[in-house]
Amino acid sequence: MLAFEGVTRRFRARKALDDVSFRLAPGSFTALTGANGAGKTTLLRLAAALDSPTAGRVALGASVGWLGPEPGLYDDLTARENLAFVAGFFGRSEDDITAAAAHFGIEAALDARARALSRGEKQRVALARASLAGDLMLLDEPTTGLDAEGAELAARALLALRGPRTILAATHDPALVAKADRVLRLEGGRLA
Amino acid sequence: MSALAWWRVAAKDARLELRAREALQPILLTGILVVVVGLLAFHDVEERLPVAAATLWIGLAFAGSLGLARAFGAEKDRGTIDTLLTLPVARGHLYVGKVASSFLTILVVALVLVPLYFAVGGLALPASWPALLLLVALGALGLAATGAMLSLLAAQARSRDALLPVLLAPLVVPLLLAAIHGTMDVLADLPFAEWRPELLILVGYDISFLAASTLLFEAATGA
Repeated sequence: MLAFEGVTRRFRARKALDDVSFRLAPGSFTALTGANGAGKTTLLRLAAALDSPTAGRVALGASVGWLGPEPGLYDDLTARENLAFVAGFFGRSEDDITAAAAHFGIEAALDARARALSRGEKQRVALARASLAGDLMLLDEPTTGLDAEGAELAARALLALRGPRTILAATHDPALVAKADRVLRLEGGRLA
Repeated sequence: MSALAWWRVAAKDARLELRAREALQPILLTGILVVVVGLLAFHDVEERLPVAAATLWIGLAFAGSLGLARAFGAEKDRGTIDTLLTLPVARGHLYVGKVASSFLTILVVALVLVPLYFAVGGLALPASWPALLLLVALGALGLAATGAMLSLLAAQARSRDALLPVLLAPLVVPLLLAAIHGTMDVLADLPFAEWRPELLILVGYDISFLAASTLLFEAATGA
C-alpha cells in the first residue's frame, strides 16, 4: 500500500525529512502529527508522488485520494461537477458521487457552485472527492475550516471509511488523533 | 480511462472558461488591439503583405501568450494542481489536455481575428483561404504545445505572467517565421509548392514539441 524506506528529503541545506521509515497497514487510519515545520506536508507529498526523495525509497502501491492544505476546488464548477471530474478518472458512477456526498453530509450543496459554499462545506466536498479517488487517502489537516460539530462529523465519516480505504492524515486535531489506529509523530523531520 | 484523460481535462477547462470567461475576454481584446493597430498603422506601406502577415501572427502570439500562462498557472492558484497530478493517469495525458484547451482558446481568438484582419486591412480573401486556416491551426497548435509546457515551469515562479512570454518568445521564433512566410505566400495566392516548406516546418515543430513535452512532462512535474 505505502512504505517509506530510509527516506530523506533535503531542501538545499535543510533536511525536511531525515531517514524516515514506516509501512501503512491496509485499511488502517494513521494520524501524522508534529509541530509546524516538522515535515508532515513534505511526507504527504512524497507519499503522493508529488515530490521525490533525496535519498531512500517510497513504495506506493495504490491510487491516491489527495487533500492538500486548501480544499482546491474549481470555484466555477458545482460541487457535483468537482466530484464528477475526479470520480471520472476512477470509473466511479453518479451513485458513488451521491453516496460520497451523503457520507460527508453535503447532499444539499451538490448543485451549488463551489464559490458559493462556506469554507467548511468546501472542505467536506474536498474530503468526499478524496474518498471517491483512491484506495489510499492522503489528507493534510482534514478538519481545518470545520467548526467543532463539522470536525466531529468529518472525523466520524473518515473513520467509517477504514477498511475499504487506508488513510494517512496530517493533523493537529487531538480528537482525530485519539481515534487513529496508529500515530506517527514527526520531530524535526525524524519519526519520534 | 487513460485514453480519455486528456479529453476530461480539456472539457473541464472549456466548461470553466465558458462560465467564468476569465481568459478569453482579455486575450481577445489584446489580439484585436494588436491586429487593428498594426494594420491601420502600416496601411500605406508599399510592401503590404509582409506587414499584414506579421501583424496577424504577432497578434495571435501576443494574445495567446496571455492565455497560455493560465494553463497550469490557474491550477496552481486554485490549489488544484496537486489533485490533477495525483490522478491515476500518465501525466503526459494532463499535458495533452492542457494543450487541447489552450489550442481551443487560441483557435477561438483566431476565428475572431482572421475575419477582422481582412475587414480592417482591406485585404482580398485569397483563393486558397483554407490553406490560411490550416496555417493558423498549425501555428496555434505549436503555440499551445510550447506554451502549455512552459506554463508548468512558470507556474512555480512568483512573476509567472512576466516569465512566460520571456521563455516563450525564443522558442516560438521558428514557428512564427514559418507561419508569417507561409501566410505571405498564401495571401499572395502563390502555388502550394511555394509555401510547402513552411507547412512542413510547422508540422515538424508541432510534432517535435508535442512528443518531447509529453515525454518530459513527468520529469517536469517533480516525481
